[in-house]
Amino acid sequence: MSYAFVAGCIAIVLFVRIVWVFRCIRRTKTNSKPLKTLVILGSGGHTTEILQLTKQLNRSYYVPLEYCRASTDTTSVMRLPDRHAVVHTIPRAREVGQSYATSLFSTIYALWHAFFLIAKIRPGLILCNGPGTVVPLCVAALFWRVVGWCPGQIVFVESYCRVQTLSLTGKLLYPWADLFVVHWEELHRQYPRSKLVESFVRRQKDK
Amino acid sequence: MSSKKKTILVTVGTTQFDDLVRCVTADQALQSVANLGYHRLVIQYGKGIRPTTISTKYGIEMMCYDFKSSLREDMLQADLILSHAGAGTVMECLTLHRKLVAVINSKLMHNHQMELAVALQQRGHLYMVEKPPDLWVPEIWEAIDQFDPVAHPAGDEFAFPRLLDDFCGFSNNGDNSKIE
Repeated sequence: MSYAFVAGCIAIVLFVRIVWVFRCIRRTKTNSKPLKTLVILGSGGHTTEILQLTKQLNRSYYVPLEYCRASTDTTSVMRLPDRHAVVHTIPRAREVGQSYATSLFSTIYALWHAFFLIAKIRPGLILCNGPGTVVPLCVAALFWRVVGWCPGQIVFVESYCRVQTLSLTGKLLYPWADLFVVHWEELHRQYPRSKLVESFVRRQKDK
Repeated sequence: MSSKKKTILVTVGTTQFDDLVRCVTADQALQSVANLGYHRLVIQYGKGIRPTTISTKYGIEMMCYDFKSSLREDMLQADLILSHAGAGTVMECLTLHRKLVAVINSKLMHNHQMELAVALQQRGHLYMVEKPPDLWVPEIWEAIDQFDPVAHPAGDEFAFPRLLDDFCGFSNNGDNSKIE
């Protein structure tokens, strides 16, 4: 009887929290204090784009700024503007060409790892632009947000290459990312909740 | 205007695109290239097969290599760039304000990179060739020659930071200057 009561209470609290969090996702934020920010480096072209985007962030708002990379990605770290930046590592969810059966296990493993990592970092803001590696981290952030452990607001920026269709990661995150950014009018029309950032060009590295 | 010896750079990026290399080095294409006054052909063939027909046909000097750490110099020297539709290469060319022809790899089905090429073509930033054998058509080369690209706008590095500041509710006090 009392067990059922406790379980019922937890369920109600959880439900209220979920509704509350989802209401917050759709609202404009009013942060007054600096946000601990986690930038997820997706390797290769993803890293190029996210470093370009975050290059001019006002560092008095987004502080401390930490990074996260996949364990298989060794080159991204060398491209960071700040050599002393904190870089976390996560196992890669799925290798290119990996079978779906084994990728199920590696996804669960990645998710398990992500839960601990996000709990440890407690980010106020997560900036990501794919690939699939970011999904477990975002799921973990949503979980800790519902629990009330950290704000974990999610900002997803779709790749500049995507004009007509979203990437798989984009499709997965669109319904519940706090801020969803696209680069092309064509995509923005199809996904009205997205925000449009035009004329973003990958520049050559300054010599 | 065309008194200088003109150069074409063919680049396939980090992948391979043998059809492009094969088609551009075929006689049908070389003839058109020479007719338009191009006298140097630099080919970066990536992981693909090294072109076998290296010659000085039609007075065209040909140069091949697989990779270079940076193509920047070669891009800057080229009067025309024929490229695969890969985003990295395409954006690098446009940033350097080169006249660019993006050749679609018709063997890659459902290639989302084609989206970018189409969008950039619609805005007049590049000329798109739908399949490598089109390079054998003299009319295509004429169209490429006539093509006058619209300069790609320089990126606003502050566009995303501004959006993010607004979204997060940080007071925007006008200037968004970088803080050390």
